[in-house]
Amino acid sequence: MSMRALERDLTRLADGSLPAELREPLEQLVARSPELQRRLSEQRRAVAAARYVAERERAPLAIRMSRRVLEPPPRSRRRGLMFALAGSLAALASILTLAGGGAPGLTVARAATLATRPALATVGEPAEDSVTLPRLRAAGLTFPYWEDRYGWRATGMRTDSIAGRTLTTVFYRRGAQQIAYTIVSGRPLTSAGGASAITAGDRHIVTWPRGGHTCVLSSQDVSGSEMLDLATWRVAS
Amino acid sequence: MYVVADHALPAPAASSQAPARRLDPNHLGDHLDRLYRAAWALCGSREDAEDLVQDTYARILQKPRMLRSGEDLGYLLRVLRNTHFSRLRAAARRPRPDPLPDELDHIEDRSALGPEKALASSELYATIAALPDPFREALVAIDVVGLSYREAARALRVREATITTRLYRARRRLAEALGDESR
Repeated sequence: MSMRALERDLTRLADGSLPAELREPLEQLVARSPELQRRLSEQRRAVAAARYVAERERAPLAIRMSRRVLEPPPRSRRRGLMFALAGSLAALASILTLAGGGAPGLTVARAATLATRPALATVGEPAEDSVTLPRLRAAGLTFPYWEDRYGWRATGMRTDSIAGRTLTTVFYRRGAQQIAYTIVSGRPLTSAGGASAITAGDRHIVTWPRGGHTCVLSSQDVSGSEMLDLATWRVAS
Repeated sequence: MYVVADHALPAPAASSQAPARRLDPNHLGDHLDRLYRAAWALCGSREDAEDLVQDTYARILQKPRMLRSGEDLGYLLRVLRNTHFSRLRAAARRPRPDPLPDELDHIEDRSALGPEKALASSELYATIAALPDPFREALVAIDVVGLSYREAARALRVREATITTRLYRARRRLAEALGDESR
């Protein structure tokens, strides 16, 4: 007698995939054995738990939005639909934020840690004389184009979701130096009306409210005062 | 009378005979929720799961993929799993940056809801993530993603009987970790 084969049948009986002709005989066998009843109960508990969370959890909005960035450009006949979808998602994000969705614990420091993580998508080249990066908005705000004026080239971006907020980060590089510019959607993280500079270890952080949201600049290579200059460079939003 | 025996494998599914076709990037979003859950169960962390899903999509979209009909989800799960292990290997080679102290400031999002609802899911995913790799992969493929045993076996490139045995053990460990609340 193969105990493994019996275990495999119990596995399938627990999730309902055992062939019908085997189900009833196995159920009769289980009914006569407390040990098999215990094993089947274990299997069913695990199935129920896994299915319960699987039915509840959906991919965060941040992934849904960033996934579109990674996709190839939509065909022209779909463009209107995609823009409408993007608008709906932005509106939904706005509603979720206003409704206060998410968990506590998001701080400027935590937002600044995104500077240590890798970019996950590329950033398009702006048109001539542009002051913002093309087709890239977070919470309705644009990211600045600094290359011509300051020599900072946008090299990539990523989108994260922390504590129910969407955080969009663009990475800028000038030689070996790097700055991460993060826009945190939702209510401002600080109550300060203007920009503030913080130093944490070897990292400089500048944060300021913009358009009802929070912007965070973070770098190990650039001083707080230089980042304050960058922060106060006005961007059309 | 119940007789314990290895069941004969059913005839190969029609999909395995079907001609290959190109994976349509516009339909990748159909599987996003299930891939995200699988990623969370593999990583044990919501944030890492987000990165893993994005990395997986980026890898898939790098070039056209030719698949047979009905294999999309199994294929995506296989890429997700491979990407997960690639990230683990890369992370092991890379020096980890020192995290910033969270007590740098204490500005809380007061509008946020309590985390109780997310806690149960987080604990369960963390428990699944702590299972040994073969057990975890079987449980993720079948109970979390919802693949059939045949699809899961094909996606993970193991025999159907093997994945069933692994699933049995995975569920058993998961049930032990969860405890028996009925007692």
